[in-house]
Amino acid sequence: MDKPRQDIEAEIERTLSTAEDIERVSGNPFLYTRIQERMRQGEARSTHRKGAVWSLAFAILLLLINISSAVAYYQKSVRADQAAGIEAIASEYGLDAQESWEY
Amino acid sequence: MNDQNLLTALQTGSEQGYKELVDLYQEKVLNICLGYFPVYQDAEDLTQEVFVKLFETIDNFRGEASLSTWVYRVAVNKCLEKLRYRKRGKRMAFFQSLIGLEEHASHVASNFDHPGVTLENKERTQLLYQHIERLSEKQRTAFILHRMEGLSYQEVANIMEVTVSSVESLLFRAKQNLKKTLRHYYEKQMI
Repeated sequence: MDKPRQDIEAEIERTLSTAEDIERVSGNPFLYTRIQERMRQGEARSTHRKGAVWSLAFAILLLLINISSAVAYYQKSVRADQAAGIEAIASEYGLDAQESWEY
Repeated sequence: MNDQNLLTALQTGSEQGYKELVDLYQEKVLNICLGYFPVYQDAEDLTQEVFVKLFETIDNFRGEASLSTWVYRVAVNKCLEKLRYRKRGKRMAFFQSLIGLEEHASHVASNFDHPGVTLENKERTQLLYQHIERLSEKQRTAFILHRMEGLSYQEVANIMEVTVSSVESLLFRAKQNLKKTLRHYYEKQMI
């Protein structure tokens, strides 16, 4: 094996061995307090999110009620217009739907 | 408090139980997190997330594995979750760098801050981490748990829910891949 290749292999081994030289890091004495704080924030966020979901659901419900009322009103007025139109044509031509069926 | 008593305390929501769990396992969890993310602040944030997850899911623990295996498993899964999240972000950053919006750089290269690494080893350890980043999730996990955490093959197998021979194979391939990428790196340096 030539010299540069030996050097490379030695470098690789030295780099790989650093994995075992890493010292253990000790924990933070205030970690438990921080976790408690994090959990409290999480609960507050969750409550806030639930509130937002309910508000959105209520807004969608109101919108649906509005749309269905508008559609119902539109259909009712179209039906009334149609009936009025038929009556107007019948009277213009001197027809009476009830009478004509009697013949 | 033994494992069974601690588990009972945790499942009844005892404050003392939570505190005991944190005291017992925070160092192990922190060092696992540092194995995946060698940036102290990130690892500490992740440690907090791991314990929050442990407290939230304690009722699902059926005692099929030991408490320590379960803690390690939750920590590893949380780290892998974070890793996937970061990778998605990196892909976005890569595309942004393609259109010239942002510089694309390795997270380890730019933020390395591992308090367990001595100054004389810093450069070399940073290089090792950069190459560990390229391993597959399973090889990386096996390498971190065995080589960095010093766990036995059996313990790694229990945590990863694989056989001991799978762990041996993962470690062998991890070492081969690390050697290969490091060789490529040093050859380029010599030119």
